[in-house]
Amino acid sequence: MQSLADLEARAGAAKPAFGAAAHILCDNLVRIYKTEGVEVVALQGLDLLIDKGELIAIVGASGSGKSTLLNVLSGLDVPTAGLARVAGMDLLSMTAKDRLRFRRFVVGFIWQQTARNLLPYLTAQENVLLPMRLAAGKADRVRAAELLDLLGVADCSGRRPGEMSGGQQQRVAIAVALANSPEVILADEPTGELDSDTSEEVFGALRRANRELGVTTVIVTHDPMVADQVDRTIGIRDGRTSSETLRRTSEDGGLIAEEYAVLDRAGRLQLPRDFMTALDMERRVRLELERDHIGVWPANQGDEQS
Amino acid sequence: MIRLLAAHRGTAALLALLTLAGSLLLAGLPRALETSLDESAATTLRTSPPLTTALTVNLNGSYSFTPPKSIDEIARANESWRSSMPPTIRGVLDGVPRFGHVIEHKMQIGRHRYLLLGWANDMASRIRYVAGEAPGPGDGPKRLEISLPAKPAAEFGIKLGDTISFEGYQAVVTGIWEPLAPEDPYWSTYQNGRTEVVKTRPPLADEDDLQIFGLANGDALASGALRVLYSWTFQVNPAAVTARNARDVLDAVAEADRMVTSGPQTVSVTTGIPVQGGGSTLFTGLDRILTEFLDRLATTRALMVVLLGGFAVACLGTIALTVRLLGARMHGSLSLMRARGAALPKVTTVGGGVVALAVAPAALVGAALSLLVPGPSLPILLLGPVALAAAAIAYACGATAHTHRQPLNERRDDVVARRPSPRRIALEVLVVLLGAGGVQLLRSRGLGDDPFMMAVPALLTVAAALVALRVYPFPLRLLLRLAARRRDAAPYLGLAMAARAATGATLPVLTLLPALAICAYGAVTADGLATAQRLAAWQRVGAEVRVERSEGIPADLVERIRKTPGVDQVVPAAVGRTHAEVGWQGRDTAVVAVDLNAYRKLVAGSPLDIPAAPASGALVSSDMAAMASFDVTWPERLAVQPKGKIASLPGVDTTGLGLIVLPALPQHTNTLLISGDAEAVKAAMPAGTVIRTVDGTLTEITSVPLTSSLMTGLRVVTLALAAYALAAVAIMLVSGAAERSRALTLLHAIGLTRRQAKGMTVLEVGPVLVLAVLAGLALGLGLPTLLGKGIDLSAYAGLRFGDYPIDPVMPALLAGGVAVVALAGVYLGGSRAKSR
Repeated sequence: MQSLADLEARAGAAKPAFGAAAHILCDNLVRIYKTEGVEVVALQGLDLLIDKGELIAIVGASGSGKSTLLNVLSGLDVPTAGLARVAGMDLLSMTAKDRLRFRRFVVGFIWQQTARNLLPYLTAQENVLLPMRLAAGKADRVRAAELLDLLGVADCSGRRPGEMSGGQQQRVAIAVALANSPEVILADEPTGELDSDTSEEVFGALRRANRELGVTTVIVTHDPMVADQVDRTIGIRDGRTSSETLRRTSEDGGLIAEEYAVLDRAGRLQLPRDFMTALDMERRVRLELERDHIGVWPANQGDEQS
Repeated sequence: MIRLLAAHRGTAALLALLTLAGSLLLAGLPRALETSLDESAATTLRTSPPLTTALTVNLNGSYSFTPPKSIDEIARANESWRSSMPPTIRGVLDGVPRFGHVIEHKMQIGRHRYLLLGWANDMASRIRYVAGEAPGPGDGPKRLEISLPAKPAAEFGIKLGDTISFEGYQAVVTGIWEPLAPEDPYWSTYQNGRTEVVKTRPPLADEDDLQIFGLANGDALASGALRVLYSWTFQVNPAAVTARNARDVLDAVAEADRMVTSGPQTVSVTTGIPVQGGGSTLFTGLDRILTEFLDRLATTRALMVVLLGGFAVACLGTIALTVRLLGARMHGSLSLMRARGAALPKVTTVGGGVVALAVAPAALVGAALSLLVPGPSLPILLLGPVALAAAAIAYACGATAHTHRQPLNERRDDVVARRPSPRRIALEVLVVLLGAGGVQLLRSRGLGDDPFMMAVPALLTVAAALVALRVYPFPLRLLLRLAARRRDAAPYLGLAMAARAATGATLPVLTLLPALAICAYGAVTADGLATAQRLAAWQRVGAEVRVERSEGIPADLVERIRKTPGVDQVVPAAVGRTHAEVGWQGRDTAVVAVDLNAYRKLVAGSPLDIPAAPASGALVSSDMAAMASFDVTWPERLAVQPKGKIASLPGVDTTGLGLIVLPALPQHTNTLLISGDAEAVKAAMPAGTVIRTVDGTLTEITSVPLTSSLMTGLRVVTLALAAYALAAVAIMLVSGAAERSRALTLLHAIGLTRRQAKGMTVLEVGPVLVLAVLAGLALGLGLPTLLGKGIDLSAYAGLRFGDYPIDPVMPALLAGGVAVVALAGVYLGGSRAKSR
């Protein structure tokens, strides 16, 4: 039996805020592009929690807001509303200077186009040294060599991007992203332009960086090979997180993947489109609270007419 | 930065080349022009009679309280005058002392015979005594010693030892001399008439007065009782007067004149001679010569300012286009740097630095090369290259900073393009208003030295470009509507791409239009100047060949000339002056007796317009036209009956005179107007005839250094503008190549033929090009009228714009040529898109 004092203490005690422990936090994140009165809502109240050291994949149809989310998380774009925090830094209230420091030391990222990640007239090593120079003004060649070695492209260090394969270029790009020891790596379809074998190599490099350096890694991808190999896959639909697939290894060594729908803080839930189509659900559904679940039924004819 | 530059070396090289050529022209052309202006100043002074370009101080001894009484005193006065001249004048004098004195009135020594006595400081060294010796001081105040030039003395029958008496004086001839070098310009310039008998015919006299010069003893003449005029001549060194100090020299001449004539009278402590005032006057033609020169100088400078201003705009525009192209090429690298943590100043430094690495050395080399152009070193001329480089770097920094102000600068395809901001519209309106207002001011006030006025023509071209850009979408929309009805989709697609590219067309149009406008203006000016000079040559001569012989031309000679092979037509005329008995005092007029109808036939096809002959009577200038009849005495006494008005006749100087054109009077022929070969005429004419030809006169007009360098400058700038305009089109084409290539690749995939692709590309680029060419050409042709009196070329040809027709053929050919070459390039470029 709790005493009144206990209850009072519990009421007065600060409740941990939503996602306080998360390394990356998005709460009701909104990004609207607006010109001449025309609005494009790219993110419509997205929620996301990622823990430190996680390796996750974000999947979604084209135009679902994946890249916008990644641009926001990398500090290249500023959200319109909501809350976005990466490694303890609030992305909405950052000054331009903070944002620059954030891009220099907190995040590293990799684009889909291999050519876009590297300066074509610098060698691999110089490309890795570039962020260091930009950030601190001095180049740590030893670290650059270590990174290239870790990612398996040590032999390319003297080559220019034009002299490397696409996979090698992307691995050098990962090394560039890791140059200033960021806490988070964001990759926008890093294997999008590569064949499956090379994709495997590049993904392997990302996973190695994640495991060995403990860097939180977020990969936006269409590639099922990538999506199937991460611990958690987050689906985005219409600018909102719609589903999560968790993977764990079963006792017999097999991989178990379970897909969950995401329930946001306001209690909203997105039903998978094929579920809705199969049961011809439209506009409204009937919910019934059972003992251990909630039942969702299509509205019956009488309901529709009422 | 260097590696980034190396990665884009092609574009950077183009940028460097454009900067180099621009710097070279902007610094070199004014330099070359300054040289020819200086040359022109020197030539103007050198070819003028030396005494008109000298400053001569005359002092009448009778009106002076303390006239110099010895050669020493005259020499000291020379120094005194010189040192009291304004410093600017002192700076341009040749430093040779020239002074002397003559008696105020010539002395009569016989019937119609006169003696002028004088002395000059520099005469003794230029003569040689053939008998006797130089005159001494004489025996008293009334007995003088003189020496005479040999030839006149012989003519007068005076020998060595003779005594000449006049007005109570007796002059003993102690020497007979002759000039060491009679052809020495000294004699004709400073001592004209000293070595020969001077003949003059006084009014109403029937016999000439003869005058001999006697060289007196300088001291004796100065200290004697004869009234003496002193003169000190300060010769200007032609090379010392340049285009830059001419204005100061002119001002200083006025100051010197004030000093000499009306300044307060002070007496030099050392010489006791008045250094200012006291019967002294300054004689010089320098002020008139310099004023004329300065007028011409102002026109040349004004024209060059307009052309170079236009060139600077075109050059800046083309360089800005190239900087933008380079910026687009570097965009990926700079975006990556910015995204990877480069601060905005860093990215701006890199973007601006690459451009600086390309343009700064190029501007330096251009400026250095311009030093090879002979000319004065004027630091201000380096301003052009410096400004060009600075503008390019500033534009690069500004554009980079603007593009990369946000780390992510991708354009989303699903967001519509921004409309122009009110601020931009306000700026455009301001430029247009400034251009229009500036032109109005320029028309009323002239170009002057006002920097705003100098910028007006360039500003006007920019304003016109802005207006053209605003108007451009309307005809394009109309074309689009027409194209949409056609079955062939390619024209519609091409025009649609042109409409999409309209926002990117701002800079190309802002470059092309001024370039073509000034190019057309340059061409029309060069052409107009040539026409005007030709017309002026015709007007000065009056016929292809003009023969004048003061002794008269007998009828048989006229016949002989008529039959000379190579001579087509001959019109005899009598040209002279008379005093028309009009009104109370009469009127001095020029008289021409010529068969006007034959004259008209002679000059048919030339720029001259000769009035038709009246059925009877004469044509007269308007001030005499009201008379029913009046008498003249030349070529013979006759009564003139005015039957029409005439203002002027080519080749006849009517300055300050009336004009009477009579029917031909063959017995008084002294002028022949000829069409045909001048050489043949020359061979047939006796000595003593003056032959003038249109070609010769035209050469005289065009060979003036100022004119020739102006024409060269005009042509160089016109060609350079055409080249920059072409470069601008090429850069515009290359800038849009990637996007065009993407669109064409897509369209090829759905069945676009290569031919259609070419057509589409032409239609995409064509409208902007045609707009710029047409608007530029129209503005260029309209500029002479718009600028009106602001830039008056009459100093070059004696004619104003408007006095002769503007020929649009040359500018149209030039602008059309640029457009055709550009479109041909576009057409060929269109086929290349497929292979990408």
